[in-house]
Amino acid sequence: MADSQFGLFSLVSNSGPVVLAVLLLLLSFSVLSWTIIAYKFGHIRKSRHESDEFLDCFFEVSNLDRVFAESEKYRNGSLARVFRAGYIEYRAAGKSGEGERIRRAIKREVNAENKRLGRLVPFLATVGNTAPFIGLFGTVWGIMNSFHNIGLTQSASLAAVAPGISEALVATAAGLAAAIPAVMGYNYLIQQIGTIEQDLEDFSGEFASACLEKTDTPPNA
Amino acid sequence: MKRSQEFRIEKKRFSFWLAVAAGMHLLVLLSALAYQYFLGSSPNPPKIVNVSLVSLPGPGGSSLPAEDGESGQASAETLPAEFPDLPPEAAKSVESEQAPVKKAVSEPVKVKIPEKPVREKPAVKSEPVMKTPEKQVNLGKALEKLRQSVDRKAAASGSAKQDNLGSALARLQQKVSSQGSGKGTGGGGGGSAAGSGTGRGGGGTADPYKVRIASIIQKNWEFSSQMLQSSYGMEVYVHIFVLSDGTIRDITYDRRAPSAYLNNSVKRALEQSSPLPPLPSDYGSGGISIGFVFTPEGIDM
Repeated sequence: MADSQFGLFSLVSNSGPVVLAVLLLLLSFSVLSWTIIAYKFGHIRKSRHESDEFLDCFFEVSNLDRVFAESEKYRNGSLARVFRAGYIEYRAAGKSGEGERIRRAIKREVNAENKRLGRLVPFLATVGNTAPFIGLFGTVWGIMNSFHNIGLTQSASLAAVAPGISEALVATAAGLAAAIPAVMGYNYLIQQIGTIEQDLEDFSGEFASACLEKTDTPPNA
Repeated sequence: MKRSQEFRIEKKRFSFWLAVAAGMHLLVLLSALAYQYFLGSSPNPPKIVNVSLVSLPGPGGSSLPAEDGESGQASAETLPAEFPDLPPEAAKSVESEQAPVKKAVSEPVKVKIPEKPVREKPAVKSEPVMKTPEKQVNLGKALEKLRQSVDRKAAASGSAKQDNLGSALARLQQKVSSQGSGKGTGGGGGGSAAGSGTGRGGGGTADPYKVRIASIIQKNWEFSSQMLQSSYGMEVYVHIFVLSDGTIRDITYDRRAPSAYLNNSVKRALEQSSPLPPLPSDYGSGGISIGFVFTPEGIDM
């Protein structure tokens, strides 16, 4: 490293304060992006897995009380959570004419679940969109400084120009390094969330109509 | 209550992943550091082709540019064999003809400013050397004799050629060694020195020590002629004082180039080259002053 005149770290250590600030910002963006990707990946995977299992259970068991008891096992599954919210409302209603209330409760839970699934994901889109520009800002600033140095030294030699430009380009590289995983993660998560949302839409409609049918008869019948 | 508990669990999980991501970033940075460390101390550094522009020691071939390898070799092989047949004056003339590029400074301590500041193509540089018609007559005679002797030798058999080549090389070695020990007859002096110099031994470009240090300085000279906007007057005349242990004590510019880049690169090259190899015992213990001319084409002495 000591011998490496153009090593990454010597470039960073020779950078100006603005470029350093840009690099630090991009590093924090990168850390947060990877955190969100890992966290949401685990969360969504778990949610899908438990939803699938709950759906199997829902269609296998015809008794809603037993399904409710089974849903306790799938606390992270989105469908199970919607079902639980609807079932609690259904039990609370207890009489006919409360169908609209159950439907509203299911819709509310679906919205809450959508919000929960989509939380933090827009940050990835923000990083994916802004990080290259932030890096570019650092590059422009570094190149500005190198041209200033050329003016001061009155020499257009490689020795005067190259270090500034290479320092500046580190910022663009860092911006791209932060943005690329963020964009990839965002696209993957959005696709997964879209699938779960579609399942929720389908399930909530079906479940609401099933509950409405059953509200005509007493719940314990 | 359940919601807040859920939120707390999620927060904890998020903190865990945050720590993992930070750790991974740190690991990547450390890996990059280690990679650069090991790359920096790699046993096989990339191949660098170093084209030396410094002339080789020896008469005739000493002043030719390094890139003109074929002609330089030819002169080293043929000329020394012919010189014994020539009168000393003619031999000098031949030498000066063979060394047209050289801006010879026989006493490097005092650097002469050339008459033509603009460096043109190497072929044009031979013109200022031939000044008087007398020299041209001498040169003509020498060339005529040279041609005759070459014709004679061409008529001889192949084995005779081999012998001639061997003896020429032997003579060349003898001559070089005699110049290195300070007992030469001045054959090494090229350029203008051939016309007016007294031919003291050990001087000129044939001095192995000076050639050696010129080669070292050339290696340390980081300069690209493409960085110069024009080549007008791009010559740096500099002389250095070398102590007996090889340390460069003084760097004096006799004439600077208009480009600060060229001037600075020369200074850096000389500073990086210090200490040079210790002076041979022939030079005594006081040290010597050596002059160089740095041009975009290379280093002259």
